[in-house]
Amino acid sequence: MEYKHRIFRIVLPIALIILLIIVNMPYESKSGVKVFTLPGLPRPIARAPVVITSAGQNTDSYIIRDISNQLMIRSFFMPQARSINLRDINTLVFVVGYSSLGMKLQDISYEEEKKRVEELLEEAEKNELKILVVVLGGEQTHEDRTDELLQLIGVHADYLIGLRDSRKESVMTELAKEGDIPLTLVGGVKDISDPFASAFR
Amino acid sequence: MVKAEMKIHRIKYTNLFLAGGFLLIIMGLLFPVYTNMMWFNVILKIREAINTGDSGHLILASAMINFLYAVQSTLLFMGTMVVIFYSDIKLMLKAIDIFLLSLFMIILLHWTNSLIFDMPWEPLSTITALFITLFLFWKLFGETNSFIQVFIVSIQVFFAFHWLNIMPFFTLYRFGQSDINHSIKIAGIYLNGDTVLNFTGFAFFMPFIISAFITATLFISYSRNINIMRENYEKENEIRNMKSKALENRVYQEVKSLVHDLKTPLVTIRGLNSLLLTSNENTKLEEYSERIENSVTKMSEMISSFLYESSRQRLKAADLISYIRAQLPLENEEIEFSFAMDVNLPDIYVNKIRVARAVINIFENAIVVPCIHQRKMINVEVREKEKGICIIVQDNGTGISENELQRIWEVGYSTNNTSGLGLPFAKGIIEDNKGEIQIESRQGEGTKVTILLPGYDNINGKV
Repeated sequence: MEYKHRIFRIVLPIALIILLIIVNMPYESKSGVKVFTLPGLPRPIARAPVVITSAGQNTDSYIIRDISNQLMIRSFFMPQARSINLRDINTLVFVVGYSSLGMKLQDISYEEEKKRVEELLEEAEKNELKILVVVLGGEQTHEDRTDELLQLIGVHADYLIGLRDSRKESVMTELAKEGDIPLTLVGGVKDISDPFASAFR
Repeated sequence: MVKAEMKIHRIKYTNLFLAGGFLLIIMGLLFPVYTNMMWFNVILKIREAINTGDSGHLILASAMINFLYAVQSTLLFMGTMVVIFYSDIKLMLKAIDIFLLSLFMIILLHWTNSLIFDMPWEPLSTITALFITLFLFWKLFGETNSFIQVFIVSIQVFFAFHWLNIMPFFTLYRFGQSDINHSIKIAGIYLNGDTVLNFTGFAFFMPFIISAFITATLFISYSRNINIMRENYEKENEIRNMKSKALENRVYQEVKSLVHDLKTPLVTIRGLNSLLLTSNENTKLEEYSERIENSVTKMSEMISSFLYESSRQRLKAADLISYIRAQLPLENEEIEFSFAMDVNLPDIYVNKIRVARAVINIFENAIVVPCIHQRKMINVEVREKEKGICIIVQDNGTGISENELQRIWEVGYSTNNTSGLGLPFAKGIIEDNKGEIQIESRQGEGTKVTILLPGYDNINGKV
């Protein structure tokens, strides 16, 4: 009986530690690659009208909508935009960030969201729209899905904007490097406004 | 006794509690399903905050999400603890093993829940809160045995720790990893409300965590007080039972002394009867017969007096005193007795045998009390009083201190290693006979007991 207790006391803490490691995954190592990022674009690449949509349905897209309104850029905010909504549109802005609750609120699955994004990208390619990608997250869980969406959209992007020192930094620098895409990494969410404006003015 | 009852109660309701525990776990696991509208409302609040630029909506959203997280964690925690405590697991494992198992189970349940329902959860704050809750549970449940009190404390701890998730300051330490909390923080920073969020998080965390510890401490001390009170009550009951048994024993002793007293008239009867057998003189027959009759009457009175406690009879005070004197060891050479009695004492109205026993008890106390003087003296005075007579028994013993004087009427209390039953017994009898008893004493000087007995004329009008 005592022997069983001893085994139990060894096995249980080990199992506990493993569980803690699994549920609380460590930081992904940040990229060691040094990429020189731009404070903003030297000349505008995008034109209004703009469709701002979400890829992952978190609330970050509402912040970009607000910034766009403040910059007086003619934009349509459609978190669930479809390809049909891209008619007469010159620029498509993706705000990437997966939110399981946001998806549930919109009553869509992750696969459906991915399909919608793919359709939008296809339509944007067809209509030669400029694609801007903004990522405000980078510290939260479900990073794998945000990463997947970012990888999916990033390769088609004309301009990437993200936060410095976030877990997304490595993914974005890789994308920028591989696709020769201009990248701006800002210190905080309040600094997004300038690089975003530089794409239009 | 109480513990045994608790055990029976526990066995009786074990299955019910087990079912309750599983129900709590199921409620915790399904919590996001039946409260989905509330979770969605959090997102709507964040959107509203960004749209209106009002960070107040973020605080509301934070309160809602923290409350939801806290309730879910508490349900899973309570369910797990109830199941562990009402199943055989508790009997098989030691305290430390139960602690580890609880921790493992609750984390596993949270994780499973987040996987099944694709719901966000906060591992760091939940696990930290869980450690503290388990610590408090150990302290609290060990003392109170109450799951309701554990619930009140644990929900406060979980609620407190979830406030750390909305503080941008703690992002570095991996608090606030779920998409909702992250959105709150991003929106807060965007609206220049990061300081507000930091302050609000701290302002909620501190009071709730302090409150949880204070509540636990209060519950523990309350439970300890209740236990002390219960133990005291049980002890008092035991003492009461013991006193009652001691008094019963006292009555038995009194019966024995009565039976002993009955022997005196019986001896008289037997002696006279033998004289009758041998006597040839008819003139003596009448005298012997009268004396036998007197003895039988005396015996009958004694028996009646004892059998019917409330029965009282008119009595000459001198008769009572001579009856008492007849039963006192006055021949004791170490004690000097002195009797002083008024000549024309009024008739009294008492139960002779019982009152005599009471007065004898007082005498016996005076006899056994230690004496610091060379010779012990007991002075007895019998005087007429307005309403009857008073018997004063005064000794020159060690006396009774003022503190002890207040307790001498308590059953079982004694100042000289006696049973402590004599005085309460005497007091009871005197009061039953409408009399009064008082004790005055000075340490080192002696004790004076005054017994007032009602006169026949005084009381007869009221009967």
